[in-house]
Amino acid sequence: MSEPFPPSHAPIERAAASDDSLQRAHAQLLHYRPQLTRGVLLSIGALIAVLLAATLYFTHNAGGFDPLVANEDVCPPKGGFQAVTGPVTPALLGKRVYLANCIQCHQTTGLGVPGTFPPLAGSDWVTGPEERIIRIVLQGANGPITVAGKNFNGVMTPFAPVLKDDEIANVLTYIRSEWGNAAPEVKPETVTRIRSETAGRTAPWAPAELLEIGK
Amino acid sequence: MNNGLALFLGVAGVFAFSWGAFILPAHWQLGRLGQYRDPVDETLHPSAAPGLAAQGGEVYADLGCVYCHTQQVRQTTLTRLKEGKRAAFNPDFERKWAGDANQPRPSYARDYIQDRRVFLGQVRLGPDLRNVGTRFPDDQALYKLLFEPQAVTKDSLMPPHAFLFETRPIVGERSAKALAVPAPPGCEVVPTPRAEALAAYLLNLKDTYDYPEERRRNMLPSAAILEGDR
Ligand code: HEC
Ligand code: HEC
Repeated sequence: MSEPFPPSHAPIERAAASDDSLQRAHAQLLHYRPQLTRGVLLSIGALIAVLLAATLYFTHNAGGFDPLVANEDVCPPKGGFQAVTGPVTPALLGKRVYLANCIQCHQTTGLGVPGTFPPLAGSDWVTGPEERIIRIVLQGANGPITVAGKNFNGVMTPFAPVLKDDEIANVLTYIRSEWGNAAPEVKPETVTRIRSETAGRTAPWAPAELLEIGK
Repeated sequence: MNNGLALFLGVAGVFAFSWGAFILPAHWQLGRLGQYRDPVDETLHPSAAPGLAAQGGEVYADLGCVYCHTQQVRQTTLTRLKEGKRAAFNPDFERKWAGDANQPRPSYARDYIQDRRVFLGQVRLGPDLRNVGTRFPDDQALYKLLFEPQAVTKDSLMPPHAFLFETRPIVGERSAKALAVPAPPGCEVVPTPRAEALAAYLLNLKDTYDYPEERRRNMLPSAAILEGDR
């Protein structure tokens, strides 16, 4: 048998790889696995740990970030803000009562409405004997009254049915210590006592009548 | 699957990385914010939105109000010339977006802790809505605006949401909820349940409670800002 083609053409005609050699190559590839050696695992672990530590560090020192601050101009003091959780004072409790019951007439500023509602700020009545103002709040007031040199004549509603003794004590303590007023606090016991003394009374007090009390 | 472990580690690493970068720090910084208990009357703030308002939040998300409205009052102090002198002012406060007019305040992080979805928004094509509940007296005023904004503000850019309302013949008496808008004779325009939920949601949007600790930290006399020369 003679060769059908000149030998120089042989590489084109015949497959370069036999079935055998292909299978051998595949077998080799199938066996090949990049080895996740301890070294590789350790460095991946180390990378993750470093990233985590970096995040924690950044978060912790985030330029003095404070979740309570919304004003971008605020610069927190060195060492951060000191939390203040002040004790709940009777005056603070009284402020609530005041805002809920008294501001329609005496206003949040305590200045009242000129000519209509007398001021509580700078009033001698407020800083004067507590027996009088407890009565005013309990049964209300009606009649000419002079407050801080001005004359008023109006009606104040009674609060005996609405407010409890400690609420009245607290609101009076509040108005006696706010807006520059400085007078001792009113004790709930005093309110209880005066409430029982005036138990039968429903008519509002006339200021002239009150001036006789606690002289 | 030859490299299952490597693949797994790779995927886990990518997720761990983004979790560590975005979730963990944010949670660390803000996650501890809880409701604040008022020391005097023992109420908790902020309170969760009541049921109808919570449903309205879904409508708000659904209709894409967030694309034109933000819900974040900012405390930025800018300066401008006033009578020849530099004066500090706060644009958001000046536009009456900051709740109580006597005690305006910015939105604090704590305000959002009860929100199922937080609609901070990015674009202010319309007004900020974080305190819209303080600006509208009742749902009727809101219905009127939603039905046809152009009837409230001439040439308003806000799209009408008339599809939230139903025009139906009056059967018996006029509905108490009917809108004061022109309707065909014998007909009335009434809000659908979606509109009612949306209005409840909007009316509930008001941050009026002021947290003492936040107030103390965010107060800054405007003089200090002028000094800082911004
Ligand atoms: C309906 C309006 C009204 C309300 C509410 C009201 N007051 Fe008065 N108050 C008056 C008027 C009017 C007078 C003056 C009465 C008079 O002319 O005799 C007055 C007088 C007073 C006075 C004495 C005068 C002075 O100004 O010092 C005190 C103290 C006072 N009120 C405290 C209170 C407190 C505390 C409350 C809330 C618990 C309160 N008032 C709620 C209308 C009101
Ligand atoms: C294409 C932008 C756009 C979209 C979307 C949009 N608004 Fe508006 N909105 C405006 C503009 C602009 C105004 C101001 C003009 C006006 O009052 O009509 C406004 C005003 C308002 C006001 C009045 C605010 C105020 O203080 O007077 C309310 C409430 C409101 N939009 C609610 C919504 C709700 C709810 C949605 C979703 C259903 C919505 N808007 C979707 C643009 C938009």
